Amino acid sequence: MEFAEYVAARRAALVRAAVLLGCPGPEAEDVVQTTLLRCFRAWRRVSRADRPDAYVHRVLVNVLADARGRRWSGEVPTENLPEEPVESDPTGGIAVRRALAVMSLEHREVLVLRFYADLSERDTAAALGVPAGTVKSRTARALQALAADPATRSFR
Amino acid sequence: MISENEARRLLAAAADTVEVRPTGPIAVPRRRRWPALAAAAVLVVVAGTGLAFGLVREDGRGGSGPATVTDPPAPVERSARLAPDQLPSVLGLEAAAARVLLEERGLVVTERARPDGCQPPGIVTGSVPAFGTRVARGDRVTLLVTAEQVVIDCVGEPRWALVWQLLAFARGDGPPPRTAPTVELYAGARRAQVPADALEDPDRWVVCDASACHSALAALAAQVSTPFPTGDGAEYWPQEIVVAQGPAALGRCPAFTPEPELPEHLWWSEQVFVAPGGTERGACPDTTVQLYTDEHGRLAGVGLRLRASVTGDPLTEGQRGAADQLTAFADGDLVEPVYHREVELLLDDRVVDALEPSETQDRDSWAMCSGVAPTDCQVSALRVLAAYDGAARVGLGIREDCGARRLPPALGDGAEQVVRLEPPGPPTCAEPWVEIWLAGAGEIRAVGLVLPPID
Repeated sequence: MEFAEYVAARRAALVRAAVLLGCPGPEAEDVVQTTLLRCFRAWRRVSRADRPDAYVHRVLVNVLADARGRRWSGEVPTENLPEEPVESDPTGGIAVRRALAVMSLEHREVLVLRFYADLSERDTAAALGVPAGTVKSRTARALQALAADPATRSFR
Repeated sequence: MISENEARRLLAAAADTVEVRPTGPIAVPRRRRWPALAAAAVLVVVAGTGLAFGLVREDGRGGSGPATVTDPPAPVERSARLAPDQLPSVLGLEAAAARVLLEERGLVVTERARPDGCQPPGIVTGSVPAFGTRVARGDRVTLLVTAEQVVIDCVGEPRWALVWQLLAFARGDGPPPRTAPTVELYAGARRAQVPADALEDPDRWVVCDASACHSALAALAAQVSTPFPTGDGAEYWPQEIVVAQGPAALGRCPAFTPEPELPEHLWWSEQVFVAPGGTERGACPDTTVQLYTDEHGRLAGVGLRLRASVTGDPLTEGQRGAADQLTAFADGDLVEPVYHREVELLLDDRVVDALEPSETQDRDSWAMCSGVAPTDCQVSALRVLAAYDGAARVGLGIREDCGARRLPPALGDGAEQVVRLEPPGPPTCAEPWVEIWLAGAGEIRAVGLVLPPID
C-alpha cells in the first residue's frame, strides 16, 4: 500500500486511537502527524511487512509516550468530556471514554489496540514491547475493568 | 464479563465521539533521485516538523562498476499477500515464535522434532498442513522443528546458521547476521559496496540500475511469503529452503544472470532459494540469492541472480510470467495465461488460426495441420511444450540460428516482444520450438510453433 493511500484511509482512525489512548484532543492531530512522518521514513519496510497497522500503532504508542513524558504533566484525557453525558450519549461512547480515562494506562492501551485498532495479540505485544502472554492477561483484566465500570453498564 | 465483539462495539462508539478535522492530502516529503554529480548530502527540512530526510544519491553510470546507493527506491521484489484463513509461512522461525503466531489464530500446535546435528536446534523447517492451506480455528498444525543430534562433523554442509539468520532478518524477525566490515552486494550485473553498520537497515540492501531496483533481502522475503499451490484443489506443496553449492541444483531451470566479477576473496558461495519440497515441478525460482563468506565465516557478499534468457538478458516480469503461465497451462494447469483478446496461432511464421477467448481453454482447439500430410492435424504448441523433458531454454526475440526466417505479417502495432521457449538441453534446430508474441503489458497475443526445417 502506498503511504498516501494509507494516510487517506487510516489517518482519522489514528487520531481517534490517539485520543482513546489518552492524548488530549487538541494535540492528537499533531501526535498522529509526527507518527506518520516517522513511519514515512521507513515506509518501504513497513508496507512490505504486510501489517502496516501494527507498525504504525507501535510508533503511535512511542510518540505518545514521548509526548506524555515531555509535554503533559499528568494525563488529561477527560478534559473535553461533558459532565453529565447521558442525554447526548445515545451509543454510550462518552461513557466508554470516561471508563477508559479512569483505567490504568496499561489496560487502556490493550483495549484500544486490540479492539479499536484491531491488532492481533502478537501485533499488540510488538506495539507495546511486552510478551504476547502479557497482552492476553492484561486484556482479560482490562475487559473486566470495562465491564465493572458503572458508566458503561447501561449500554451493554 | 464483556465479549471481544462487545468490546469492539463499545470502543467504536467511543471513537465515534472523537471529532477529527478533515484534512487535505497530508504533506508528504517526496523522495527524489539525485544525479551522480549532485551534492551527496542535501537535506530537506519538512516545514513544521523539523524532520530531515537525506535525498537519494544514485550512481547513474551503466555497467558493472561499484556504485554506492543510499536510501534507494523500493525493490521490485514484493512479498505476497495471503487470505486471512491461509496458514502463514513458519519456515525459519524459532519454534516458540511460530507457536505464538499460530496459536493466536486459534490453531492447535504440536511439534515434531527433526534431529539434525548440522542445523541450529529449534528452527521450524516446515508445517503440516503446508503453508498456504486454508485453516479454521481449532485445526491442528504440526511444526517440524530441528533438534540436536550427535554428528561427527558437518563438513560440506551449508552454513545453516547464517542462512536462517539471513532469512529471519529478511522477514523482519531478527537482527542482521554477522558481516565483514564491508559487504559486496549485487543484483544482476549491478554491484554496490556497503559498510557493515549500514546493513542493519534493510533499505540499504537495495541495488539499482537504470531500469529497476532489486534487493536480495526482499527477494528472500518474497519467496518465503509465496505459497506453492499444487493445482489440485486446495492443496499446497510444502516449502523447502534449498542451499546449493555449485550450479547443479538449478540445472533444470532456465538460466540466471551470471555472477559478476567479484573481489578475489569472494570465491566461495552458496546459492539459496525457497522451493516447493518433494517435487520437481515449479522448482525454478525467479531469483536466487548467492551468499559469500570470508575466512572468519562472516557474510562478505550477497548477490541476487535474476532469471535470464539464453541471450543473457534478464526477463521482465511480464515476459517471465507469460512463459511460465503458458508452460504450466500446457502441462495441465487449469489456470489460463492472460491473453490479449484473441490468440493468433502461428505455424512456421504463418498465421493459421485465431482462438476466441471462449476457445482457448480447450486444448484441442490449439491443434493445427502441419501441412506435411493431409491427416497430420494434431500439431500444437501446447503439446510441444508439454513434451519438453525439463524446463525450456528461454530466449528473447525470434530464433535466427536455424536458417532464414520469413517474419509473420504484423500482428498488431508492431510493439510485440517475442519470448521463445526452446527444448531443454543444448541448442538444436532438429526439434520444434515455441515462440510467444506478447503485447506491451505481457498479455499473449500470438503463439507460434516452429517446426524443424526439412532437409
